Amino acid sequence: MKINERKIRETLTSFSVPAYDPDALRQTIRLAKKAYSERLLAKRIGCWEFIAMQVRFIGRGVWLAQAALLLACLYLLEGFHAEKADMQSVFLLLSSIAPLIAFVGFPEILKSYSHNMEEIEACTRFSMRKLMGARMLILGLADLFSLTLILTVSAAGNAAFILRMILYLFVPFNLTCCLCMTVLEHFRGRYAGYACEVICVGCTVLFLRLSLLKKYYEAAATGTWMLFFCLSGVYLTIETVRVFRSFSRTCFSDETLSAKWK
Amino acid sequence: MEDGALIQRIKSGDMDSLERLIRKYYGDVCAYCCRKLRRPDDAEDVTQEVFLHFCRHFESYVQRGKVKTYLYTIAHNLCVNAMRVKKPLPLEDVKMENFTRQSGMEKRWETTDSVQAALNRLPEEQREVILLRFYQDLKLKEIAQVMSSGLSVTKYRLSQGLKTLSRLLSREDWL
Repeated sequence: MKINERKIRETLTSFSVPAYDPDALRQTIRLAKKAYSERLLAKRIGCWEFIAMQVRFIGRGVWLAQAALLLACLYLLEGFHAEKADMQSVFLLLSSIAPLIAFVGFPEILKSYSHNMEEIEACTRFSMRKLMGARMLILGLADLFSLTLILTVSAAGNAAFILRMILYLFVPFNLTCCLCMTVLEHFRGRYAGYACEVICVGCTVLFLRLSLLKKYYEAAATGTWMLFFCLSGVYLTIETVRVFRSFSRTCFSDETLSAKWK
Repeated sequence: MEDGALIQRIKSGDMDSLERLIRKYYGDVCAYCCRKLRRPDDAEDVTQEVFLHFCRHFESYVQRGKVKTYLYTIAHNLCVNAMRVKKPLPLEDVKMENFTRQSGMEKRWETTDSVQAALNRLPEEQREVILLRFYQDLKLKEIAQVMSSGLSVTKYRLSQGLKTLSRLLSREDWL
């Protein structure tokens, strides 16, 4: 250091400032802690971050049941391919497994109601609509993934019947979901989950019975099933939107308490 | 405890670490604000705002340099804002007893008076560099960071500031 600079430094040290007020320090600490806690509450969260967070809250049993169902279906399909079984057996399996896939997800969507937790969830950080929407999206995507995988494996065995496979897989699934969504829109309460389960089991039995009657399956060639597929697809879309909207209708004015998405 | 460890603990929600960090830097930041604003009451308000700002925007804080430098950067910006609203007090209005409570020696009173007068006559940027270099013990690179300026500009401001200060203090026979 230059002499001049050292001298300046020595001279500058004479310019002292008053000691700070300990009360001001204490107040700063208190306010800083409060600001830090509020920051956690006011933290904005991205849509995908929110969905990823909700995935963790889906029960482990749901994933295990879904995986078990998928593996069982794939195992049976492989067996059919190895035995070179007739296509009706494959169609039978596809039609009966589709409502069961829906059966796994619906009670999970309604768990807030079945556990009487809707009041608490409606007044916490995220609105009921966001919460239910996220659950429906996650489970819907999981179902779609399972159905696509089953379809791929089925088509790998015999690609000639792919269109009929799509119909036998998606028409039962769509119809089951339509019925469950209708129940969700009109009856929401502790027993709505059970009602959905009954519908899913009923649909499984119905399609199991139908698939044994050859003439119903022949109807696919006439386009009746195609019509069912289109109508059920449209109805399911409309009903899903209506159910999603209805969650805010039943749970206060929404959004006021919830954190905003980016 | 190292600042890095403190920050990690704060990130995990440890309020005691936050308190420790505030206690560690409160005095330095307050002294800096006090010298810059020349009003002890305003300095305490701005210091409080520095730490509140730090907490509110903690999510966006990425620890690349020292925490101290980051705090001084916030303090610098907030002081500039405060000075825009309220001009610093002229030297004659500042109650000197506040600034020399510890010593009480007449000679020291005079010295403080001259040093303050000399500092006040410096251009704002040069004054800022000197305050950060000699009172807050920051390195030139850190000062450049705080003032959002280049290193060469900071070096230039320091040398110019020292020259002017030396000239001003020599006149008063303090050097």
